Amino acid sequence: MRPITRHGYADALLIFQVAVLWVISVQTAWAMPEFARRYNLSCAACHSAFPRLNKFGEHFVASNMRLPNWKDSTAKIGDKMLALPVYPPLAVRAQAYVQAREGKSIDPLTGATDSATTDFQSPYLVKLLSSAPLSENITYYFYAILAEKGANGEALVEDAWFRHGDIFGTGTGMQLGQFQLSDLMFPREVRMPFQDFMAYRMAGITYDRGVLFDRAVGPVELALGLVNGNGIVDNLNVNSPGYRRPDKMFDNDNSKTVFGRISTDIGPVNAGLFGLSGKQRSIAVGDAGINSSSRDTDKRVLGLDLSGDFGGNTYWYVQYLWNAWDGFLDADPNRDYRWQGGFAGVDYIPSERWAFSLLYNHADAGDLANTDTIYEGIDMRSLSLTASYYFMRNVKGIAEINVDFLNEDTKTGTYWTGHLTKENYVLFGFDAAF
Amino acid sequence: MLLSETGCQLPFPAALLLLCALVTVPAAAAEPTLRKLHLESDPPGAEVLLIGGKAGHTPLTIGERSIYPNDFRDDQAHLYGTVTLRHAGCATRVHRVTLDDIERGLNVTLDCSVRSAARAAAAGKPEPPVSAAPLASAIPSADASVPVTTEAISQRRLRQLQVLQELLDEGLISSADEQRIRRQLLKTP
Repeated sequence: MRPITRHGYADALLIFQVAVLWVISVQTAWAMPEFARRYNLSCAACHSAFPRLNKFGEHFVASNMRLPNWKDSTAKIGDKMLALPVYPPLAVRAQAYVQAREGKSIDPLTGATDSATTDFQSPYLVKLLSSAPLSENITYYFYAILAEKGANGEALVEDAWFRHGDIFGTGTGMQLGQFQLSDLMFPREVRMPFQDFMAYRMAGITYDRGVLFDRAVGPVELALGLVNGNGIVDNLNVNSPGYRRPDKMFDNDNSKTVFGRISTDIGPVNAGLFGLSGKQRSIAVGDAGINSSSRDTDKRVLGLDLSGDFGGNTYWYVQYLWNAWDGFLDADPNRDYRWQGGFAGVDYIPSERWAFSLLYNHADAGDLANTDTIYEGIDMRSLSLTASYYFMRNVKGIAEINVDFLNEDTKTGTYWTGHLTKENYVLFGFDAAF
Repeated sequence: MLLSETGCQLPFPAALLLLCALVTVPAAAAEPTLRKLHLESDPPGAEVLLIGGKAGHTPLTIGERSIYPNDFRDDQAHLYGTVTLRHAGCATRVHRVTLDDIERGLNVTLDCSVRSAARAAAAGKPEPPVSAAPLASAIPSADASVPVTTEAISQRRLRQLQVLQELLDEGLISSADEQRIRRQLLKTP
């Protein structure tokens, strides 16, 4: 057994183990995912096949992640001003894989190359999730990832927010915290394939800190949000008033990023339009574009998403994103860079044991091509085929093959950038939530 | 063909074969549903309605996915996760299915005293036949030969008792409250 050498990881693991043991001691039905546990419902009530949500699951999320009888699962302590869950509302998601692939790790500055054609990626991640209604209108949701993608010694908090379902009785919901902007379209956490929705990552519209308002107006769903626009990592000392001030600064500039989506059902198709306008730091000259500079530059994203299903067992989805990064590279600050990408997929769930998925990712670096920066690597054309076998509703084995349709680039500039190796892979593993 | 045209070389033929084998495993070989709800009623022979429509008569075994379909009409959303039991001479009962029900089976005792009382009030008029109509229309329609006031009162009581049962099933009122209100309703002329 490999010893744990990092204190941070060991501490986190210890806390996690204590939490799990305590929960097991008070909750005998621990082997069920949290929402199913709380409402005494089958996982099948919300999932067509874990983690894909069915229509009722989507309704549950839209209903502030609660059912009308949520108070039944609160402690009966005779205080109307207190709605404590009877037990700590915790759940775990864990993934472990073994992968064979062609992709290599190439240092863009030196060309130094590491490769591992076969790779045990176990654990790929361990997530600790928690969510519960706290009042008539307020719900919280949170999860932390331990050892994500081999990063032992780290615990990363991604989704972490409060949501009020009805601000001032207006019917408008408000969510405050960390969340993914792209969740307005297709939440990455409930996708069936291992392969990611790459256009979201490339466009930088995943995790950020901010506020999101949403409301339904007749058949139209509206969402409008405001975020810092610098992700979820920055954390700067506020030191100008004096020495050792306690507060921190999460944003690194005065601008905020505004984004929103409008959507409706058109017959059997749900169609949405996404828009974003904000600032991002420019990229310094040299070093393959891996370093940010100090200029704030304009960033805009427009998106179109379409989705639907056939008979409740075949789901399809399409996403297109158009990106405008004005003056993004310090090497040519007067130049505006446009690029586009997207993905399309189908999930077919023929039975309670099997699910099959296809996901096609496409991205074109556009104006960022031949810039001798890592942004040349926005290019992508790959098809992922996934088969999932459900040992239980909440435990699946997964086999996936990713086929890369792009040819390898040859190094043309000073740096090792672009599509220098193919990204074909085959992957097997387990994905469980409990 | 597509692969060769685009210059893609599959590097892992063995794995691909395995994946293809997985994909081509006949879906029909898998269990259609993993779990089932066994449903009985007292009296037996009650018609069972799910969100998708009629499922049969008790005693009956129902696949979990029939109770929790992945898709349904918006106007049927209130029936999601429920079973509705109808029996001539008894009050219609709507029950929200829990994991415990699926694990242990569900035996529903129908309240047939209400209809008996209503029938008595209606001076021996025959019970209307059970139809496949939605829940709301399962309440018997007014009979022209019965005095309007008596019929209207008994119909209203039936509706109130059904709503009461639904409130109890959904955990919105306690069992004690349900009993108290039920007694009050039955006492009220």
